[in-house]
Amino acid sequence: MVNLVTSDNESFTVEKAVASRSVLIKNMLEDVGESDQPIPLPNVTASVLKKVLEYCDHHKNEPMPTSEDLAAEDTRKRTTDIGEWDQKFIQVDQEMLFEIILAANYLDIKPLLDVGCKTVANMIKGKTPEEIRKLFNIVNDFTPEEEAQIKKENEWAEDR
Amino acid sequence: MLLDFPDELLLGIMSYMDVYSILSLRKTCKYLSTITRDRALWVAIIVALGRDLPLRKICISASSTSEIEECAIRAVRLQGVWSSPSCAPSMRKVPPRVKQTQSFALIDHRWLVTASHQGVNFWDLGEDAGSPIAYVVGCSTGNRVVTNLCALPQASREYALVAVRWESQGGERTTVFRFPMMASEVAWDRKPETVLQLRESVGLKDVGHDFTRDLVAFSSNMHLRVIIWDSKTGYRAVLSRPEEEDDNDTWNGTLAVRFCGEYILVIRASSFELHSLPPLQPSDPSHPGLLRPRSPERSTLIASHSFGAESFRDASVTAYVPSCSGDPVYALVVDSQRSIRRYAMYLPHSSHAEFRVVLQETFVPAPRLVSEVRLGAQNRRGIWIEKSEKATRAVMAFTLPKNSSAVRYQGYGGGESLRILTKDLHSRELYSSALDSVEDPIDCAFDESTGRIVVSTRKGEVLILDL
Repeated sequence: MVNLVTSDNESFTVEKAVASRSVLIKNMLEDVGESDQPIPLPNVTASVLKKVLEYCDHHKNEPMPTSEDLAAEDTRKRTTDIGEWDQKFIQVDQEMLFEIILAANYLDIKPLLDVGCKTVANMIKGKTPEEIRKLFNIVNDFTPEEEAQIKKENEWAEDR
Repeated sequence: MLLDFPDELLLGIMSYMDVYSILSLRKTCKYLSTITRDRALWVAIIVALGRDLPLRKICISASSTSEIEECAIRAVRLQGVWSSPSCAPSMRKVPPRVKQTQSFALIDHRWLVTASHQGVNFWDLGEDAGSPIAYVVGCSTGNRVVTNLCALPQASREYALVAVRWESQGGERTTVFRFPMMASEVAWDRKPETVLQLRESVGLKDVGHDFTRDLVAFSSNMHLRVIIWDSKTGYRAVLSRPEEEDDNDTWNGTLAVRFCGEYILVIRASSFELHSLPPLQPSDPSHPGLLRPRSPERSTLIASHSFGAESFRDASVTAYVPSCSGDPVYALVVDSQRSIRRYAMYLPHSSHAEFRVVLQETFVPAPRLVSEVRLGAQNRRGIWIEKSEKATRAVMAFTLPKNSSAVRYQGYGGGESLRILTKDLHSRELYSSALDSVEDPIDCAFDESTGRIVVSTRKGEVLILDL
């Protein structure tokens, strides 16, 4: 069993197989060897870690992506399909979704990061710039001239 | 906040987005606008698109990010409009310098060569539908009646070779002109020159080209007559078969030729043949126009796939890609029932020694009758000309099923070599004549990566359709 301590000082005890879905934790465990020392995760809060561990627990028996898999993988992903369980899992509010993506990035859990990124990409798909701004609270900081310029730039592409 | 994400995560998200979503994201705010112009992002997009869609020619390392981006967006946009029935092509007419165009050829989507009774003319169609059609250069053929032409760029792309078949009192002749082709004003000052004269007539149904060796193959539509010509040295040779063909009554003319590495693929009306490259010889100096092999002709035929009594009316072949020599070359043919068939041809290769021809699909546009078919170089799109129930003729565009290229050669046994699928292909009408036969489309050409289509009508008009 592995003991993980979050930024808000909550401690989680999980199976090694679960914690090792995180390449960061896996490497730490390999470095320190067998030890009861708690592992501090200063970038992750308890509420987010709980969610991340739920993902890791569900996927604990799947083979880890090998370095060859990652090298063979295209830099440009072709599918935005998300598995059924993952899809339910990722149905969270936007703040939690972003926290999960940041945590997956920090903890180095590639498949979870992919699920998060795909979900955000799917949220953006088919939306107008104004709808995207509203969705993510983005402030339009273009001057009217800049906005006109960008609109003009790819005008030909919109004709479809 | 999305904007709090480090750049690498934003780019990670964008790697799952389609190009139109990325363009929308660009318009939201300054910061995201900058990220959407990341070079690695667009290089990855174009590489991924290149696996699925025909792209315009682009050299990634020599292109700016915005050029790569434009190429990607154009490819995605064309994929949408090619099959969308609501998107009508814009139409331009080649100006009436030429009244009756007999024949034409499209080079690289941008250059058009037309032939009429008066001569051969070269036109610049521009990059898109908004460009004016500019007359560039031409040459007169005097009183000779040009019946047919073929054109192709030379490897250096400084010149285009234009082969013209014409009639005169002395019979039929074939002449090859060299037209300066650079898109620079200077080059156009040079006049076209005659580089090859053949006293015999070559039908010029199709022309094959080996860019790496600058070899050209002119094919005749009457029987097998393929002349191989090295445009650099002027050496020539003729493909030949063991038996004398002229005794045979069935028409087995050559519909298409392709150089495929060490082989030459010949699509004939009732057989597909694989030939080896015959040794090229200098022409006889005492008879410069005549091609007379000195030694008895040795057969160049390596393998043949016969279709028996079937007689194809037209054929079109994809490009041969030397780096994928194990992949098949595809051909679309119009069969005697006026349906379209698609064949995959597996050339002898390290992993399989035989020449195999596998039927992929039969497209059934009946009760309409297909007369001409053109397949894109990359096997994704095509056009055909059909006669519909109303007795009008129409130009149709179609998209080939996406996974079709995934059908790979599996080492079929003797009887299993034919895999027949009959399917109705999704197609849409691009142009049709208005019940007036002089408006009927007769001949057509298209460029797969730009979607540009050229159509000639019975009246002798040439129309440019851009999607």
